[in-house]
Amino acid sequence: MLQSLSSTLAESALASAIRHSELAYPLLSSLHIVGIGILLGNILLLDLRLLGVLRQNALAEVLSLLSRIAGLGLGLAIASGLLLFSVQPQHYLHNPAFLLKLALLSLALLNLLLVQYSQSWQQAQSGGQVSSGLKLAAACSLLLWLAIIIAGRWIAFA
Amino acid sequence: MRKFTDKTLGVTVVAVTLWASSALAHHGWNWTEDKQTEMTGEITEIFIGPPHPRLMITTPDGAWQVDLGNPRQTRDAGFVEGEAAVGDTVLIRGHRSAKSDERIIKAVRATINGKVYTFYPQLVREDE
Repeated sequence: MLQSLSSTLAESALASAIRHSELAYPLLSSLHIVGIGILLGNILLLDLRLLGVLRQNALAEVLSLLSRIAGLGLGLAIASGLLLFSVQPQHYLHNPAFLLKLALLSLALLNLLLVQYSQSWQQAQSGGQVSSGLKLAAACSLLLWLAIIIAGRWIAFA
Repeated sequence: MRKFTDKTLGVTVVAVTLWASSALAHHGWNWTEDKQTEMTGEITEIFIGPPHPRLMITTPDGAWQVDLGNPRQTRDAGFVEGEAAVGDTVLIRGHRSAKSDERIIKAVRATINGKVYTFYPQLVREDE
């Protein structure tokens, strides 16, 4: 099923347009970097604030601002990433670094969902204490996003 | 305390940079052998597009990945869609990966059906 899905994607008009354009791919790559930049910059500050490494500003305000902008970056990175992937899905599905990146990304997104719907997040957002569980999730997030960047960069060399 | 932290950070940055640059393969030529080799094979897959056009071929020696020029260089060499088909025989002249277990060759020139596509005209050496 994954095979047929990926060949449908590769044969789509959009994927073909990106393959044949001189501008599309470099521009999408740039957008992917911008998305990652926005995501990582904000998520690092968010995680470090939760971990107590950074202590500036009211927790509730910082969390709400940083998590929204990080979400924007994530959306941009995923959208541009899907389009970059569409150019040759089969090739990427056989690339070990890409598969590792997908696995790490799934963990990071799972972590994100667990945090977003947790009691601890509600508590922190209303200015309460940061629970030790939330701190652990922040540490995982920090490591996972950095690992995703490294695995992503490795796709070209795997 | 501050001084120690800055120094540690500096060392880490340098270490990571060295480690990353040693792994920067496939762009440029520092990952390939210096000498040029030729190999003949049958094309099993053709990809023309970003980020990097390539062929997959089978040779008497097994399967090889042939990296062509970047998309612009490949087009300028005249190698566009329809120029070759799966099953065609190709003669590659290029630089093999310096790792003997990595079956990738970076093509300087490819000859298919009697037509010559030169991706790096200034790098072709006939004396080897």
